[in-house]
Amino acid sequence: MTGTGGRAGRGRGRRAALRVRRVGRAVASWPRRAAARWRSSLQVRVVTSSLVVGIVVVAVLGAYLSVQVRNGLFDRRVDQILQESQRSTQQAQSTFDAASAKDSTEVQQLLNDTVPQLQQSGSGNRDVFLVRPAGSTAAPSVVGVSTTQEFRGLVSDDLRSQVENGQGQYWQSVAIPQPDGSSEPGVVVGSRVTLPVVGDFELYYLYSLADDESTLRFVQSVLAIGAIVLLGLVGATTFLVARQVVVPVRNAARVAGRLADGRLDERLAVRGTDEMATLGRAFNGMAESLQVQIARWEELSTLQRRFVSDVSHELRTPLTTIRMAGEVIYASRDEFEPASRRSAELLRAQIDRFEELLADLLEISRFDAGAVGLEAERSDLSRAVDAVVEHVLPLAESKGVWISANLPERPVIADLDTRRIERVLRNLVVNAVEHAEGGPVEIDVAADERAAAVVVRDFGVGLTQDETGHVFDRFWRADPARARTTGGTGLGLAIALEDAHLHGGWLEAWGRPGRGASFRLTVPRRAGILLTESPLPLVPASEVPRSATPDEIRDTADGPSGLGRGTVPSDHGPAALPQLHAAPEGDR
Amino acid sequence: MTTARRRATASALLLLLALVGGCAVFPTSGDVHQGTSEVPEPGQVYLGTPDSPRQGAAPVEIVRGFMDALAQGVSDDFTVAREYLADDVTDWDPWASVAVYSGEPTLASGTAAAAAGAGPDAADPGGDAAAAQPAPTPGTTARVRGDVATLASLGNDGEFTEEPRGTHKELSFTLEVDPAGQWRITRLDDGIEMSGANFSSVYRSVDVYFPTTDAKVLVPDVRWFPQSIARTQAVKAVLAGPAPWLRDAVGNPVPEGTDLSVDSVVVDGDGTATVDLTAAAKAASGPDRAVMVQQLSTVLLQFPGIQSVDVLAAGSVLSVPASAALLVDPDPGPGPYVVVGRGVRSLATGTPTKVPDTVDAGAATATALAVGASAKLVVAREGTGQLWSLSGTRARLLLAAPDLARPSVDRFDRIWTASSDHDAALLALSAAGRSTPVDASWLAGRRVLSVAVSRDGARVVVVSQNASGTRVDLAGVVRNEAGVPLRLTDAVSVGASLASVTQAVWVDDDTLAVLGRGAAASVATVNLVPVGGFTRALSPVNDVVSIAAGHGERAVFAAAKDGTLWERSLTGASWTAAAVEVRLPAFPG
Repeated sequence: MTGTGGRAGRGRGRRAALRVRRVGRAVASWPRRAAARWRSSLQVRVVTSSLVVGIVVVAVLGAYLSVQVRNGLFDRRVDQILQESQRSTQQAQSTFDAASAKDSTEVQQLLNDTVPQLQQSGSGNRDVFLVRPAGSTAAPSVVGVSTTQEFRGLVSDDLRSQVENGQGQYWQSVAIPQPDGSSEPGVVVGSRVTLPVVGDFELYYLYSLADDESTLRFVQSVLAIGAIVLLGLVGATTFLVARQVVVPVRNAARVAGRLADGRLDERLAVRGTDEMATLGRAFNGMAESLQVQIARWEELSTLQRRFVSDVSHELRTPLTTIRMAGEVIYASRDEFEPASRRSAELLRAQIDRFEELLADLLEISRFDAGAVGLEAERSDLSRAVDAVVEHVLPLAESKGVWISANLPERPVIADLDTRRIERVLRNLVVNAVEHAEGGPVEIDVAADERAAAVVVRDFGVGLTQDETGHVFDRFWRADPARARTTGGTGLGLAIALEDAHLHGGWLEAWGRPGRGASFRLTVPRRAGILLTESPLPLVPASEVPRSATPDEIRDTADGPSGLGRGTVPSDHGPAALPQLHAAPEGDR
Repeated sequence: MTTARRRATASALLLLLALVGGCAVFPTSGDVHQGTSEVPEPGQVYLGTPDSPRQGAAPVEIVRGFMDALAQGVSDDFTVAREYLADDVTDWDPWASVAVYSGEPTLASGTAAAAAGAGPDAADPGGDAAAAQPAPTPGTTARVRGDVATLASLGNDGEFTEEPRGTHKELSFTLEVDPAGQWRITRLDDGIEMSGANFSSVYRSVDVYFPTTDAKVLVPDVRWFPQSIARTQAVKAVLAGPAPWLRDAVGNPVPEGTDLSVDSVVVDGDGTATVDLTAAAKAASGPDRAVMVQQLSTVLLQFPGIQSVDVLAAGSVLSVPASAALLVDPDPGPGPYVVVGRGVRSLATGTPTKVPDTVDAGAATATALAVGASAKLVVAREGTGQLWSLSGTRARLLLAAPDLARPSVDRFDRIWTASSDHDAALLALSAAGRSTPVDASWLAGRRVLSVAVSRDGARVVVVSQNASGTRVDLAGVVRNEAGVPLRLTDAVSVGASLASVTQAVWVDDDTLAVLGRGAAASVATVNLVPVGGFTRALSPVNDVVSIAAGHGERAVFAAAKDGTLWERSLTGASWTAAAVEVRLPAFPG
């Protein structure tokens, strides 16, 4: 076989095998599919169970009726046969009594003439046997006569002995063999008659019950047809009835699904005044009321948002004026008294704070109104982290907090809105620095095929379990008494959460009181990826910072901004940045 | 569904239910319907198995048992009867003849030991004398002689001959004790005997047809065959050709050597009989084949259960150019014709009507009347010496001869009669009066009383008389190509149980009506004599002088001396008066 032919042959064979396997699977899965259908459809269950009950009842009834009819037919026919036979035998006996036969020839003639007459005089077809009693020796030249040769054997020895020894008529059921191999039911009736010259002979009649059996079969077939029709009727009826219940239910389920999807103006079509109609109307009423409520709430919410937005906008104008005035005052603070100077500084600081708060409020209200746009581009998450750390470095210096960032060698490219991501990271790092209590802040960045993550960890005050749940709420502070140096608006994390969600990412928090907290930002590498897991764990693996202990740092550091062992102390600022990149990779 | 439509459907359903429910009882009134149905023919009777030889039976008992087993043995080749024969009996031919007897056979043993009794059951079954004796020694022989009163006998080709009253047949058997100590028959005559009662249930009569020499009519020859093989035997009889007495009087279209290729005639479930002939059948010419096929069909269709016949030659259907249409059992025509006063009248319509083209006189003193087909020829015998033709415008004397027999006119318009002038011959006259003698050697020394030619023209029944009594004979007519009769074949005797026969006429193609005195009667009665069967007397008519028969038993007429014409009543076995003051009834033929 050549190569191509072989391949083609193999391909064909494989296709055939596949087809066979497919068919096999379809067949094998049929019970499973049937079971699934049974479970899922009320109609199927109702119709099947009613059919099963119907079949059982019909079968039992049919069997009973059939047996009764058979018994009735048979008994009646046997009575008829017995009476007819008795009458014929009596007539034959009177013929024999009146005959003047005097020798065996004449007796034989008498028999030969009587037997065909007896056959003809029956109400149907019957065979007549006139038989010598077994063991009789009287007048051997008179032989028995019968109207058939084949069925002589049907007169059994039992019947013969009964007829010979008993009185009256005896009968027995027999099977009459047919030329095609089957057999018909029959009855043999026998009694004794006395003939002139020769004495007692036995007279037997063979009746075929084939007609009655065909009547029975006919009745049975009619019953069977009736049963089938009845079962069909039962099935059809239950199907129709079940349909009347199932269809409205199915409609209601469908409409409820659409309602759940958000199409609040879906209603059930309702006809009539029965229970299903009542249900439908109630359902519609519920949907109507829900729709109205939701519309009201939406309207309320819209109003609220608009109010916030409007207020924020309105506040901006006076704020600008206040700011300008404050600047002026601040510019000439040196001319004031100490108390007024302090007031001018305070004024400026608080105006700044007010402006921040307003900006955040506006931002949040934009999020609430849904008027946010994501300007994503492929950028490096590590660079964003760098930028943020550089920005926060002064604050960290002032607090004596050691920031270490663990960045992967390769750039972490993702679809990011740089501005927002940096805002998120800034917020996280600032928070970490604020709550670090002098401990280090560790930033880890990692990525896998689907997602990139940044974890910001501090070893400071920490959070309780309860607090981690509320940390992203608006205007929520863990410890309201705590002083904030940079001053937060209370909306930072809320905005960060919204920014993360806008990317389709996650922002999560973890904390232990006194042990610090960890915040993890996970973003998908490409827009549209649904996040299922994050490259970094939220719960930190180690309890202690991975970099040098704070004591060592203090020992080797010049001043509050120690930069690590073995490093050339340099100013915080851009020059410090390369150092950061050279920091050894820690464990992930 | 709208409510209106729903209501309509519901009411329709209710109506249907009511109708159907009401039909579930038997009707108690209704229209009149046709109710004729088929009643099957009475079937054949089968005889029970006869007894096998009893241990220690005496010779007479053995012979009696043997004879009793013969009737049933016809259907199974005498298996039980052969048990009575010694093992070395190989030359017994049971089919040579059948003697039909009445009453009981009388058997008497030739040995001194057993009591010889004359009469039925004299066989001493296990009789006192025999039982007291020790078992006979093997090799002892005995003779048993018997005597039966025969009614009829059957030849080996099935030809039936009725025996005259009082005929007896002698039987002779030789028995020997076999090594087991039982008597067995060692020598016996060929042929079998059976009682008349069993004969009619074991054998059946079949008309075996042959065509006339001019292939116009089928002539039956009555044979008797055992019921079980009757069909095959009938076909074989057709193929074997006519019996010797009929040989020259009828044709035989079957080629020499034709036989059944399978030794049976098969009848399938539809009633189609298949006759498979050997290839020799193809030697027949076209018309001959047609006649042969019609012969076989007519013969086989007599049997119940056969609806049609297929004739094959060597496996394939025998091709026949055009089917033959020979007449079977032809009808003589309307009648009877009677002499009323001086002229001849027709009683076909019930009232005497003139016969056209016939002289209305000259029959006043007629003693016999014969009519030709369609009454073209009307012949009257005056006294015993003159034969006058009454057709045409005036009476013509055809023949004047002494002791003329009652004439008959055949289908060739020949007038048959006989005269003591012509011994051992009949006379056949043409319409013009020219007579030719028809030789019949067996008529030598006999005076012919009545001649009747059968309607097929191939057979003639002759009533003749001599010193020892009357005799009715049936013979074939040998004709030349022109249809002129030349001679008669050898005769067979029919109606031998009748005495003082005066007239015989044809009733149909195989039955005669004979006026004669039967066994138990002292006056002449009308008897029906089948050509091959037992004579049957009809109920008596007072002073019957002449008879005539149309087609079938119901058309038999008897004329009494007082001028009353009796006909068979429509039902029953009696006569009703058809006309008064008429004489000499005659049908064409």
